[in-house]
Amino acid sequence: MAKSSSTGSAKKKKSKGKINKKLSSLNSDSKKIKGPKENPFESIWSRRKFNILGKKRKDDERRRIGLSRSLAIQKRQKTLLKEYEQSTNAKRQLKLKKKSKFNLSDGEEDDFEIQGGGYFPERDDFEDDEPFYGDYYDDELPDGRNKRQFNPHEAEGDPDSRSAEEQNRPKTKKEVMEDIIFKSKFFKAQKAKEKEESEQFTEQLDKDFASLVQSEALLSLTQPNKMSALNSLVNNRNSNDAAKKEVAPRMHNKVSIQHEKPDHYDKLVSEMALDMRARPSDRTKAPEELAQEEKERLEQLEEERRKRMAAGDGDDSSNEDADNSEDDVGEVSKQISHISGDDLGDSFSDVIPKTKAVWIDDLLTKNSVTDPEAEDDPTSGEEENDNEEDDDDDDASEDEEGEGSEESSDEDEKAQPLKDSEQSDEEQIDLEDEEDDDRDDATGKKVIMENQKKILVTKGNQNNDSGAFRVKPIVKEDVHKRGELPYTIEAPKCFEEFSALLENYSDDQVVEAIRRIRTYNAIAVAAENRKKMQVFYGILLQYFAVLSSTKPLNFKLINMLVKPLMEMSTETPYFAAICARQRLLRTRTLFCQDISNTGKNCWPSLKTLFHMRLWSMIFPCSDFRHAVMTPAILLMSEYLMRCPITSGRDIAVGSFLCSMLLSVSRQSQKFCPEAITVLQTILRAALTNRQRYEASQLCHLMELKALKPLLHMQERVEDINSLDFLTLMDLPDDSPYFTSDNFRASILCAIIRCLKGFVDINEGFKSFPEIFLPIAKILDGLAEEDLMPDALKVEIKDVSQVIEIKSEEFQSLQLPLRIRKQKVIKTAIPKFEDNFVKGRDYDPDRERVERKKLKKQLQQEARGAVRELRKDNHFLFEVKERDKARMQEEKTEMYGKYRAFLQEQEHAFKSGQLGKNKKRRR
Amino acid sequence: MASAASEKKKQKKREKHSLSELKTMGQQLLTSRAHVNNLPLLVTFINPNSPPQYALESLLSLQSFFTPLIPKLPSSSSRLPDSDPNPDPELIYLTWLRSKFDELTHCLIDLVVSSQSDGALREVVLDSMMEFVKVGSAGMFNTAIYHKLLRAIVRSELGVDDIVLDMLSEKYFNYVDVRFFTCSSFEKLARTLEKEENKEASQDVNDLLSRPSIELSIQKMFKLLACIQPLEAVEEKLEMWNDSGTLLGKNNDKVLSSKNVAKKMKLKFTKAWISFLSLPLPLDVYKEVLVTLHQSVISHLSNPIMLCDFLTRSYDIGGVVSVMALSSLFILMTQHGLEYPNFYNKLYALLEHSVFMAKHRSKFFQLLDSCLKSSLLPAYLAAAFCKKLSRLALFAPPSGALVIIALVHNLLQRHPSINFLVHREMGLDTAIDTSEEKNSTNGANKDLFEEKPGIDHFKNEENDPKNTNAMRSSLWEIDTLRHHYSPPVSRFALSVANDLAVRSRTPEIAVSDFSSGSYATIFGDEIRRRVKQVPLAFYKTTPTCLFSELDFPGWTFKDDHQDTSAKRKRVDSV
Repeated sequence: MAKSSSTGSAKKKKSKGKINKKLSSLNSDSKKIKGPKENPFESIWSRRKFNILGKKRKDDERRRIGLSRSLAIQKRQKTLLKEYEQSTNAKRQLKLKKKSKFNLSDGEEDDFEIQGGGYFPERDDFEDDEPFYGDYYDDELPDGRNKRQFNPHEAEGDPDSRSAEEQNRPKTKKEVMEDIIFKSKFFKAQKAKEKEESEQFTEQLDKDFASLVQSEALLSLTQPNKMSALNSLVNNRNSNDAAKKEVAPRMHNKVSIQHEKPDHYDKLVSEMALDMRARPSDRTKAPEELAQEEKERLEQLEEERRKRMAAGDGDDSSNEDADNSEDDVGEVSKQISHISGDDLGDSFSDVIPKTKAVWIDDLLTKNSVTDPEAEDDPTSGEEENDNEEDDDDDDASEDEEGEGSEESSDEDEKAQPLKDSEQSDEEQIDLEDEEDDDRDDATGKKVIMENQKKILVTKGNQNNDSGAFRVKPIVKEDVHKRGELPYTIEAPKCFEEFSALLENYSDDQVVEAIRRIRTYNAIAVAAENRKKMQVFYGILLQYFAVLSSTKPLNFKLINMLVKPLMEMSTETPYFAAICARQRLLRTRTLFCQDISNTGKNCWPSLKTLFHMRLWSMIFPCSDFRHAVMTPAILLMSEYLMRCPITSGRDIAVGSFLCSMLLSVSRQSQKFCPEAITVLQTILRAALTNRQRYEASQLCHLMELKALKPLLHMQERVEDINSLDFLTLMDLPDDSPYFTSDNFRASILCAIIRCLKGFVDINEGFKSFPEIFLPIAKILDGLAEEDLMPDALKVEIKDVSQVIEIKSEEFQSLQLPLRIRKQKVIKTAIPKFEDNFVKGRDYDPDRERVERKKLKKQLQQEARGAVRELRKDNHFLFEVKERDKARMQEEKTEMYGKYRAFLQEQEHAFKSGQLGKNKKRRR
Repeated sequence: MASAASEKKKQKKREKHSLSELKTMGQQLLTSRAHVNNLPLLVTFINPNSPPQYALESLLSLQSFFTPLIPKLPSSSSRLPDSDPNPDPELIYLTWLRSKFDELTHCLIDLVVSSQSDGALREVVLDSMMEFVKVGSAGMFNTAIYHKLLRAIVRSELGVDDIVLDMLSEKYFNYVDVRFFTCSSFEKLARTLEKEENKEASQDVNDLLSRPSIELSIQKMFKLLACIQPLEAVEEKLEMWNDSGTLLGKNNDKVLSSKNVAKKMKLKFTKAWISFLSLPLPLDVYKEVLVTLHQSVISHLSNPIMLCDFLTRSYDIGGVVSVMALSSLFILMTQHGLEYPNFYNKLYALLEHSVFMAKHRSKFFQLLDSCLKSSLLPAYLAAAFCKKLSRLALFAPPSGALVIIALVHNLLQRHPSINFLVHREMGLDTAIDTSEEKNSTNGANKDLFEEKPGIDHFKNEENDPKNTNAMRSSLWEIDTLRHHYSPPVSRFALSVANDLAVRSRTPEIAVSDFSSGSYATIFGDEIRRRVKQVPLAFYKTTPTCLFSELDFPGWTFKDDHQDTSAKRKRVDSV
């Protein structure tokens, strides 16, 4: 008290006051119990004077040891003391009954005594437990029992481990014998199998050898006479083989072969050792050299052409050249008619069938793939000859003008709308370029910048170009007057140039022109061509886009563009990827705009679909993450998820997108939830209303995309045609075809097949049944319909059965997930913690931490319990001591009393007053 | 006034005699009481049909006439002394003035509310109305006029985005007393509207006219209510429209501390909102209300628990409305100790496919995560949520799948008791099973799960998480997601599986990182990635055409124009 009063601050006083209040209340409580006597120790505080860093303060309150001690004592007095007293009473009673202990009893009383043994029963509870566990767990660890107490579940499980033990009992003799027999049989069978395999292997080797002998490779290496010997050997064996097949006993044959083989074969081997070694032939050329050659050849051809042009009269030459060129054109496209009309046809009859296309292909493979074995010099020489002959051919034939002009006029008509859309697309490209430059790499940017610059230049002064643009004016003239292709074409710098170049040409010529541009500016020839070709690639891609958005679709030309585009992508993969990504980005932004203003059909256009397909052909689809394919797939899925299906055309486009996704994800077996959802939705559109309602009970996607029964069959359809994609895309939204039953049947057929594909690739998924079983239900509903064509019904049933069988199989085999525990490799590298606090547990293993915590708690509790027990004992001891003292006191008192009495008696006796005057004494 | 003066000049030029006459009449009125008979004449000019200049002119003179007089006027109800045989002529005069004044306010309100009159004029009229309101009842804030004004605005056929509403909220809602009285009159208005609504319902008259008008007035009320900013705890200086500082006439204004005002204001604000919410709100207003409630209203209510009726009702509606009500309800539950018995069942029912496309999904997912944060949730509930979410992931867009993986991961981390969803040892159990089968041949009480571990016993359509059987299932769906086409999803699923394999506690994933995802974000991330290398597809022979019919079963790709046109003809004939 004195100490606390010495603290000065008002706040402390306040708190002290509070504490005092509490204290007084406590005291009053204790007063009630203890009476007026107050323990001065209770009011003593033990106050912590200083804060010790890192040491936790248990309470903010100061502790009063004296008080708590006296409280504890009170508590004991209430509980323990009472118990003790009762127990002493009981003991006393027991003592009273002690006699009965030695009496023989008749059971009942005994039982009663055990049950109602009072506070200190004779038999300990703990002893009861002992035999209960004892016989089960004799051999277990001593702490086993302990554990069992913690988790009773485990204890429940244990009887079964006993049953497992039973299964491990030693086998009977019979079983052992059976085992041995089985094993020996197994080994025999295996040996036989191995033997057979080795035989097969030697046979295979023989066959290979035979084919080797017959092939030309060995022929070139060996001398002819050896060859014949070899051949004879092989033939011999062949005949032997034939004979072997005829004659039944196989072993016999084999022996004969083994007899024959060594001498022939060894002879040959020894002879071959003496053969001349193969000499190196002309070395195969590097791709760069080939490209260079090709370029030179083109240049030469061009020069010749120009010479020829210059040789004639000024006025006539143009005419003649026109003829020439027409011929050139005609030769490519109208080969057959050309032969028939030509006088000189006989002499070149063996050459002409080798059309230009053939050697174009060869050249291209040479350029790109560089297969050194396939490309031999003599063949390319041959090709050159061919070309020259072709040229001669051109010269010789001069009478195809009419046809050519017709064709060119056709081309004119076609080119007109094409040009219009070019303009807009060009602008788009410019936009893209501007968007592009925030991230992509330096080269791409540079190229594009250059591209823009050049566009400006060409727009500004087209005529003044010199050097690199040497060819262009000529080209223009050519283009305007005739339809001939120059042999050397500089890579165009912008799309206008390119389209101007291609004006008036037929499809085949266009492809040929692209080929010539590529050969003339091949990257392998000169490093600076790379930029040119990149620009050209962009232009070509744009051309592809323009072609796919023109209205009378020139699908043939688009198809023909695929190959050069793919090959050029292999030359500049990086640039191709960047172009593709830019286009994707642009497509998506347009799509977002479309979808935000409602009412507009936002399904992808033909152009987008073509592009998607092109990219999925150029780039691999199975990569985990690909710069182009990943966003492309994402975009396709987004189309499927976000576009509303309102008409038959939407269904067609949607299902086509699904099959495109299928083809993309087939190889990597990826999971496309969007595609499956859309297929499901569309299939539901084929159900009747009643069925649809039932299906909606099963399927929760209903509210997301509810369809009208767009695909529900109205009438019976006999035949199912496969849908023509291009025609479908051409039709308007409200075309009656989309509501015809023919369309319905065909689209259902396509969808079912696509679904089948998805079922096939997704069969390994753990939730296969959950994904596909709802669809199987819908399919069952469809198969029940009367109007469904039979062929379609069969397919539907087939798919739904496949799904059901697979999911059943799956459900019987599948197991719940299990986490494979990763083994953590121990390291000696110490782990450092930021803001390390001493005493906190940084163990990463959660369970161990938990266990440790529990252990600590247990220890703490145990210690506490021991402490309490000790205190209890003290207390009891004190009480007993007090009792004893009291008894002692009583005893001494009694003793004193009796002694006094006796003394008195003695005194009386001695004094002779005993018995005489009793009365007086009292 | 300056602008008004200039306008006056203009008008003077245009209008010759009558306008100048008006002006002189006004001046006469102001100069002496003798010309007081000009007053009714001037009042007649104030109506929506009269030309704006006239109305303006007469309004100006009338306003300057009445402004000094208003405090002296007796209240309109107190002109009863008819019984008095010799009334005081002054009193009679004032009573007459009072009636004229009432007439004037009536006309003014008509003018404000009429949509065909000129905007500038209405603005002026509104200003003068507010001036009258300021000193309307003996120098105090005239609540009666203000209430009339508001009622007229709300009940009128003005559009929701009418200028009067904007003007009112912009100009006058900064003043505390205006806000206060707006709240109180809105409370009354809402009550009357509700009564009418009920009456209509009982009468069962399907008059198509009143229905939209009520909706319109509700919309307007909401707009104004949303504009009212409740007082911050203690604002040092309260801006009063009526400077004499009479927020409440009874109290002495000087004693009224700003704290007290705030308290009163809060009370009124609460009452206004509560009575407003009891109205039958149209759906669009309903959604907006739910958005504004948790953003700006709840924290300023005197007793937010009062909202619980409204919120639980809307939470029970289901769908988007429930999702939107969830955020307010969450605030009530966490901060104000609301207990909601079937909360988790309702929350479970909200998990639907449409959630992934909804506008408020980001907020919803975050709330869902925090609702499931408690480690005291029973295991069956956590397991049911896990299973339901992962079922949804099978058909969700990639962004949704990402959120779901994060949510499931957090659930598994928080509740070690549902670890069996991802890890279940079958060896021991099957041993039990076989022994059981040996021992007892009755298969009735055999556990379904032990019998066929491959079947998913989870009931997806069940709405009560207790009955979904999720405890007997396993999270196969997350394993399936590892094959998802989108790299972020498959990678995330894989990493979660790895996280769970390592026994150490991995930190919870912040759902907010994923909750606002969409196709756009994922696509953007992909496009933004640096292109490091571009592998190309390999072909033995380069394909020459775009589509092969092998890849697209059921489709053909004919390239001939003639063919297509022919086909089209055929199709058209069909």
